Amino acid sequence: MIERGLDRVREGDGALPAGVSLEARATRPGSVWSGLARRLEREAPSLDDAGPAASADSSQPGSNGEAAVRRARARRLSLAQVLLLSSFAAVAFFILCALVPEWVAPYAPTLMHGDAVLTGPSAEHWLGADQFGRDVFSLVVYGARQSLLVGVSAVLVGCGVGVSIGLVAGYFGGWVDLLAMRLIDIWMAVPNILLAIALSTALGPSLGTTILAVSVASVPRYARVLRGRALAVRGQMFVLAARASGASHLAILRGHILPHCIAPALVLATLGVGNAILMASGLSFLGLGVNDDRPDWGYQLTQARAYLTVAWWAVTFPGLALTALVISVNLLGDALRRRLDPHGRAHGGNPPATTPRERAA
Amino acid sequence: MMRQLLARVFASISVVFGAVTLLFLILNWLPGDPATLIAGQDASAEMIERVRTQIGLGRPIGEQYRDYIASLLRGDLGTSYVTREPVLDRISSQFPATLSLTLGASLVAVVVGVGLGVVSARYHGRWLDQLIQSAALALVSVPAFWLGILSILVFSVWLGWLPVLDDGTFWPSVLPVGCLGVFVSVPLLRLVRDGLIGTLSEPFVMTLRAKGLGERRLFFVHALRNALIPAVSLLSVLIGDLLAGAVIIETLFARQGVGRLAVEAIGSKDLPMVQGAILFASTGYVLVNLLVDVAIVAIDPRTRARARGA
Repeated sequence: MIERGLDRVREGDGALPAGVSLEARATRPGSVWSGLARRLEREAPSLDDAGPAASADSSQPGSNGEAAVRRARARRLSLAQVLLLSSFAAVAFFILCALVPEWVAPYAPTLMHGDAVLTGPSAEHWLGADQFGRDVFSLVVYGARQSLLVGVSAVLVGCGVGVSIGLVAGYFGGWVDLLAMRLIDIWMAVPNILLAIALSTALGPSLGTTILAVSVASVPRYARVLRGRALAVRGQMFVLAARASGASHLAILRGHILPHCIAPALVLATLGVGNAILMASGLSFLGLGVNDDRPDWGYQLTQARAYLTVAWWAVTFPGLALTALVISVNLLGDALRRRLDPHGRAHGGNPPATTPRERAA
Repeated sequence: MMRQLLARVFASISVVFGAVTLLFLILNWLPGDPATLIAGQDASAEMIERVRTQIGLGRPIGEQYRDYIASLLRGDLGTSYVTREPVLDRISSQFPATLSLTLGASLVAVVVGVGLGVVSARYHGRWLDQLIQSAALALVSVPAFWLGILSILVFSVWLGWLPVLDDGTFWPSVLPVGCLGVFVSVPLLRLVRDGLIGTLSEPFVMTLRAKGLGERRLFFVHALRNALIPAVSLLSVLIGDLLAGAVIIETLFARQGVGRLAVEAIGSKDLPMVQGAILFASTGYVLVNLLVDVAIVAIDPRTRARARGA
């Protein structure tokens, strides 16, 4: 939203079509955009302090309105950066918790403090203690590992399978495509969580089942998007050229199609981590997740729910941690999307009609 | 038009058939052994074998599948391992509760989603818009069950406004319906907002504006109507979210319903019940999708024109 405004300004400024981001274009030496990018770069410091002297310094015949837009742009940019930086910080913190929880947590997650059962936040127990007298803060810190583990592995599996299906379907087209897409339709006809329930029932609750159930649910999303991209790329000259020079299908898929589809896959994967974490916690809540001794936010919430009326802290903080992690990951994914997939914007101006995406439609 | 509709119906039937097969394979073919599940972890081998023959699991998978499809076509979803009732009876007795929950939630979702979407677009880029967008982002990042737990904590425990236990009135339904509705309203909200903002920059709006049409009429009549068409197709996504959310919300609030039935059936290893409930939900999902497709053709003249042209 914020960046979208920024792009508008950029477009108005130098008639930039909604294409790859300015910086990315500028990396190609001698490109049409490099001159413009250099100019904007020169102006960049003057945007930051945005004083009257700075605007007088500007190479453009800056009217008052233009200067105001620039000031607004500089201010908005910093807001976006603050959000992005705090997301980075939050994710880094949770990763730290997942890797070395003993550095962060004051107590072991299983240590029961007999005198602290169901006591609220205090100096010894920052976020209170649960029904077993376990320190809620320590549990939250140790629980990060499980969530991140499930989130990241589910995305790796789901993304891998989905991307492969999508690429093959889009590249080969014809009956392969038809078959794969019908399969995806069926796959999507069973609502995510019910598919996960079926898998957990068949395989029994375990960490592996949770990862499998969550990743299986995410496959169609990757497959659909990647199929569209592959379909758009496969008719391009360089693919035909590679084919004509005798490259195998596998080599073309790996060397020519995949690199062109990697950006949307990366964006979907980042946003997928948040979804995977949410879904895994839902499965835990339904009693289908891992319910051994390993600290897990979803399971922790389920247990603490029975003590809702007497210990609000035990249900509030694990959920808050979960939400903070997912929001941060989503914000990072959103930022990545704006950077890598400018055409995906809801209304960032119409992309030129010759983009592959348009031709595929 | 008619031919297109028939093709669509046929596609839906094949998808349901595929979903039936997929579920059958997951529940009957995967390494987990239903007989062991039913007999219990420490049952003797002899007992497991007896259960296996009793429920007809010893036969080849192809034969089981054929029988399963045959009974499905007769409208028989099987018999519960636990209560020995026909699965379909149990599901149809629980269905009204789920239907009223999801219908109520859709109503809330439409009111909240369209309402806030309109407000957000009207104040595009201003603080109110930013606030609503931030709230939407927070909402999609919150687990549904935690939202439910928090709402119980705030509205029942702290404020004491709403009861949670069933007392025969409609008050205990307010929280579950509200939670589910608000939860599924986010995609709708975003779509309406982005759609409105997009529509407002289209040439026809400029023409209307140039002809001197009032800003309010322009916004609420012409732009909103155009922005709502994609919102209808979003219903198909919405129904999936609703079904998934219903499973969680019914379990959390200990309400009756098909979702809770499925979750409880997992607890008691009641495979036919799990299978039946999921199948029921998937069929409903496909059916709603079909209806949405038909509805879009009915309300959007452009798709009709396209169908004729093709």
